[in-house]
Amino acid sequence: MPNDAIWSESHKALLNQILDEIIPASNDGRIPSGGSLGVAEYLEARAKDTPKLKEQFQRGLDQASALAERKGGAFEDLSSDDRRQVVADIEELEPDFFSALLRHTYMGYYTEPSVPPLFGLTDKAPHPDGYNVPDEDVEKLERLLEPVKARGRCYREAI
Amino acid sequence: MSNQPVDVLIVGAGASGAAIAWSLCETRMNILCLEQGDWVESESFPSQRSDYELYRYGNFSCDPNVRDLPEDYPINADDSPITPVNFNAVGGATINYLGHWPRFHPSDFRIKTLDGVADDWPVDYQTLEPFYNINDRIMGVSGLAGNPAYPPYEPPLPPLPIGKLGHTLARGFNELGWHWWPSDAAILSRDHQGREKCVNAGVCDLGCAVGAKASVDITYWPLLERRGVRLKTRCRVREVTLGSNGLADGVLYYDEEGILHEQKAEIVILACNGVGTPRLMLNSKSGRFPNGIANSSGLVGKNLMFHPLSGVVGLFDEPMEGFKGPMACSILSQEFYETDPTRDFVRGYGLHSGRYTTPMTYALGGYGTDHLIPWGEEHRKQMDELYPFLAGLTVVTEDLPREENQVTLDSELTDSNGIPAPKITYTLDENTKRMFTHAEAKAREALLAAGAREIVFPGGEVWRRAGWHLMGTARMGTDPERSVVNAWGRSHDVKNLFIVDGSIFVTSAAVNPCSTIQALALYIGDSIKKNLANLFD
Repeated sequence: MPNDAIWSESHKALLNQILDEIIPASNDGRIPSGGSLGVAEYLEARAKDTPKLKEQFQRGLDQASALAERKGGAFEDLSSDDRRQVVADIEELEPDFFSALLRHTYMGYYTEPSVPPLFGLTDKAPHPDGYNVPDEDVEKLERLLEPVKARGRCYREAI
Repeated sequence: MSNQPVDVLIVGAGASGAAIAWSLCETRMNILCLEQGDWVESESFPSQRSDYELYRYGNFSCDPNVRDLPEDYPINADDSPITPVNFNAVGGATINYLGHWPRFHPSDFRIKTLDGVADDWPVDYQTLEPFYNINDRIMGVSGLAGNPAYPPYEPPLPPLPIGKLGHTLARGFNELGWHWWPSDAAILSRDHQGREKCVNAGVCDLGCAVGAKASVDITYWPLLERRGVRLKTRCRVREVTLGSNGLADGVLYYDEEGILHEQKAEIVILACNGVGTPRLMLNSKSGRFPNGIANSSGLVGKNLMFHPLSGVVGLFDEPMEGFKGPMACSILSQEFYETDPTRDFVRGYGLHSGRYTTPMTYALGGYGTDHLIPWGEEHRKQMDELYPFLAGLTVVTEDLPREENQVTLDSELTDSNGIPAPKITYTLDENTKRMFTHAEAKAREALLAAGAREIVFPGGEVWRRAGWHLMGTARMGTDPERSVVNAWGRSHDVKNLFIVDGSIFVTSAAVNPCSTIQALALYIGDSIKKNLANLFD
């Protein structure tokens, strides 16, 4: 366990497996799962900053481990249905932990630079380059607006 | 600690404070502006970082309670479904606003006469029109002339691209025969006055690092500094002080180190927004005004108005590219803006095109709410089959003034200088609720007409983080018993105290207020200049 780590290797491995259930990979493999992009390290960094989060994660991961044991073994060895059931059980039993887990997972995952391009966004900062959108063709716009103009004035005078 | 007296002291360096400073600087009066925030350099904007989305939920959040920066003050909004949002810096909320720039309609100033509700304003559209035009030029406004929902005017720059979203929704509105028009925006469609045009980065709320969005730190303030207006940052005003002659004689403020200063002035102008201004007034107590300065009417802090918002979202067959382009400015339908006596509500609303933001923000519930999308297979479905194909209409309703909706001083919560924090007490009006029912049905109709396959979010929930527009808490009027300031922003009670921000709005209309706030500030500046000889009579 590295000096700056707060979770054991086994807890981190468990967390990655849970993250794979939270954000599954796409069927075609184009979009990676939540556990494959270093999101656990992002979560660990957040937990280090926040004692309450650290405590929630410790309890939640212990709970997940115990629930998996009750299903018959380590989380990674469970059937796909059982893994999903364990995650659903944590959601029900530890709602505060699970809500924090989801929120921070989405934050860590969708700001990992390789992810936004999978949804068409840039992998860079939005500024200064932005996105290429052609200037509006004002003549075309005026044509599109002809029905609106044809109806005439639609405000009330108020002297 | 005492400072050299000044002629004019402005509290707040945001939209209205900058505008009135510009109006007054030709008088050669000695003008000082105090601002509790600091300059924000564009290099520090999150939009220059690849992990920009995280800052929307951290120290660049629109919610001061989330940012929690030294220059912020907390706001207790536990008793309100809507929480106020703001930004404390040179430029105020123009730093993180979205730049949507509709004007008020002529009818918005006359709703008592026309519709029998609330009150008429003591000014009208025609009076403000030249000031709208001046302000549009200084800010750099893009739009298309000829909108039949308004008296004629011409935005100085051509319209921004309305994008795929706008073209799609426009077809729906045309199908139904409803009004729509390209949105006026305080965002450049062309390079203008040394500023670059919009690059369609889609993150207007995280600071516009190219300077296309008109925040007043880059529009008005460079002009003001050249003309000798002085600005002191990180100075938080605690109270307006009252002289023995019954006039305001200055303010007490804390500097960055927490040292208390006295600043004397001949004229005091408050420009701290519809929450900050009543907070400061209520905290300025004296023997003459035990309930806050200039509050003989008892109306300081009362009649708080927001623009309650909700969103209706449709699923389309093609990607809608919601992350490209100005976040809030594409097209606007005002088909249901004016009162129609056949409906079960008075006044009306706008249907604003709604771009569908960036992936992380979508997963966290969108721009105004915090409902996390599901995990597991449903997560995959939402991100792959919904998110790229969504387009929405944001319903922006007129909020009617009610005295029970108010800003008071919290009995326990304070800012870092020990000044009581504002407490918000607010409930939705029954008229607004009926308006939402109507508006959400109409938004659904428009989205389906535009080609939406289905409506995936039908509305039904007012956005929590929708308190952008803070209005009504020190209202204008001709009757000192029913208003706080007169027809040109001067306090009825204290003749050298002026208010120029959204606090003085009599009614809210159903459009973004910044354009009208600034036009009004310029008008008040003009009125001060015209009345200089007998300003305090």
